[in-house]
Amino acid sequence: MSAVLVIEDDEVTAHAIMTELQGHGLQTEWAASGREGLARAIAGGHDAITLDRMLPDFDGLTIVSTLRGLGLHTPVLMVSALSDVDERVRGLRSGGDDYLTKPFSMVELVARLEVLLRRPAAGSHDHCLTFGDLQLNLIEHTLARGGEHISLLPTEFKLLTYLMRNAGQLVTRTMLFQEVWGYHFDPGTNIIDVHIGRLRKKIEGRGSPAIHTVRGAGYVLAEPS
Amino acid sequence: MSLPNRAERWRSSSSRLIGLYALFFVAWGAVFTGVLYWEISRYLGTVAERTLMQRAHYYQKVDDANLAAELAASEAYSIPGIDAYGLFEANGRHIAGDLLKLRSSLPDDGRVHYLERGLSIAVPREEQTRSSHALLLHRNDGRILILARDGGSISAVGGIIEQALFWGLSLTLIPGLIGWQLLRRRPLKRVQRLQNCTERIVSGNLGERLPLSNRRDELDMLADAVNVMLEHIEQLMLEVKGVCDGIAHDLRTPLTRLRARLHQLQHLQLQGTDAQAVSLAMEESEAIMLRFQGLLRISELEDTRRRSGFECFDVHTLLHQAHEFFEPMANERGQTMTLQVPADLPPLSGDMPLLFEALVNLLDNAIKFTPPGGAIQISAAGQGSEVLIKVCDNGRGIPATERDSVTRRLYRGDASRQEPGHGLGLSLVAAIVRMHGYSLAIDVPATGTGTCVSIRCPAP
Repeated sequence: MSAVLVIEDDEVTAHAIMTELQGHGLQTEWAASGREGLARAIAGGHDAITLDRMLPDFDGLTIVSTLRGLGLHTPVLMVSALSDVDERVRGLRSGGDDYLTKPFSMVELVARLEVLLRRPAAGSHDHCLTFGDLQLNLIEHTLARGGEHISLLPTEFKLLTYLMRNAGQLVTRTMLFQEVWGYHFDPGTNIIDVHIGRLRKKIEGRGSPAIHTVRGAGYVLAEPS
Repeated sequence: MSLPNRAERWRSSSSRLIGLYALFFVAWGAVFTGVLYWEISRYLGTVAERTLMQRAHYYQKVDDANLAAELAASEAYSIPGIDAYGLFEANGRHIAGDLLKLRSSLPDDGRVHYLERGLSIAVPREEQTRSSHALLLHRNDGRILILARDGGSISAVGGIIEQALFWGLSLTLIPGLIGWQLLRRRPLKRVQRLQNCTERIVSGNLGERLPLSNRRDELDMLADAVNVMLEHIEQLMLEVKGVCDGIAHDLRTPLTRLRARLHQLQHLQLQGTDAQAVSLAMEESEAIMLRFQGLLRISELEDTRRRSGFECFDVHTLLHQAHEFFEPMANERGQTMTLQVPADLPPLSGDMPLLFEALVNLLDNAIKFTPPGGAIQISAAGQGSEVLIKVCDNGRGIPATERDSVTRRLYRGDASRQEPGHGLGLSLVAAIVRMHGYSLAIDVPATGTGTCVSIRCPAP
């Protein structure tokens, strides 16, 4: 069971986060201040950390850069009331692995945290991704289903790559927009659904993995039922 | 952005002052020389008159018989061409003297008269129509004697004065013009520096102050007053921004809590209407979030510090990406979305993610407000050093009266109230365009129906 350290000064938010994480089968630990959070993080034993960017005693950026300076590479999801793009860049530059702006939805937080928890160790770059009968060649940019070639547009290829890397896991629309198109704002339309719809038509078949829509949340690439 | 009334040479106050002085000087010079001319010519007239009267007086006393001889003798000491006489029969026939014709216009009253068109004087190589003073005398034997004195000296004086006026004026005006050129340059340069500075302030750099010199003159006094005003404005703006940021920050935590609590409720396995109510409340909170984030985003964009992060980008890549992103959606709605970008556009400087966000909003609107079967066109064209990006559709269009309002924060046209969205789309586009120093125009395409949004982007 993975353990998550929640560094958050607002008690209500911290409890909500922890309840949600526990609901997803994760162990949680709460640190209400930066000092305590840093001490616990250094003590170790966590698989991921959610870190409030603005704490009463320490700045979130200081905590993350201290951790990285000490050689600790626990994935950190920064949660911030500062939505400015520059703030995001600073957060990620100081060593954060992902950045989420308040007010966020719990679904988004959990989805991002699970991606961080399952992130493969650095250096393990596969040339090939396989899920069910789908085989994605990352070098030749080709997809085969049970030996049969399926042609994909570049966008569809990127979408499927991300879904397959995080197969069986919920990915939200903003995560997809961020990963596939590289932008960090909320497109605010159902345009991602349309792209997923196109991809779905190409890859789905009898006995193949399917992209399930999770209402109000995102998508999951799942094994055939 | 440029300020109205950029400095023009002749508009500077020193130019005006020098112009006014020159005008005053010319007028004064003209009056002075006019009076001088009038006085001198009056004096010369009087002198001529007296001489003529003396001569007349003398000839009155000469006998008719000796007159001709006396007159002929006078020629010995009178200057030819200046003093002249003419002796005529009663019927006007010329008897003797340089004056050949009897002038009928000369009044017959024994007094000296000034004739503008001179008398005919029989002097070779001399101009014969000069002005002169003349006097007509009736002799007792019926003959007529005319005595004349040339008025040329008076016009000569006029000529001298005219020349003096010409030289005087040109010798004053030419150094004056040179002086003006030198004098206006320095203050004009200072004004141009001030203008450049205000342009930077207008484009959002409120920390800038007008430059002061150590002369403490009128310009400095003015610049100082403006600087004090700017100080005040900047402080007020910072206070307003501080309040807004404070409100935004204070709202973020409760909104996060609200969503967390609603989320927990959703997990409680509620039944029927309860579950529905919770999910409706969740949807409402989503709507609040969207609008709140949109507002924050616009405030963030109005803070122009982000301009420092501008980079060169290719318009082709940007539009291609936007087209690729939206084409499937248009296709699904039975609309056609075309892209027309020439290959040789100059690169632009800007924040590409933000411009992409602007295009996403424009294309989203175009798709929303164009009926199935409609056409949406994304295009770009180079116009000199500018690039004109256009998003046109043949949908229902925006009424002319609403075109300006749609870029205001939160404005929604009556017709669009049924459509989903936070009403910030075009305001966001306007804010992005503004922070780039581009300009936005909304009009009707050439086909007559629909909307055409164009963004004019000057090349860096």
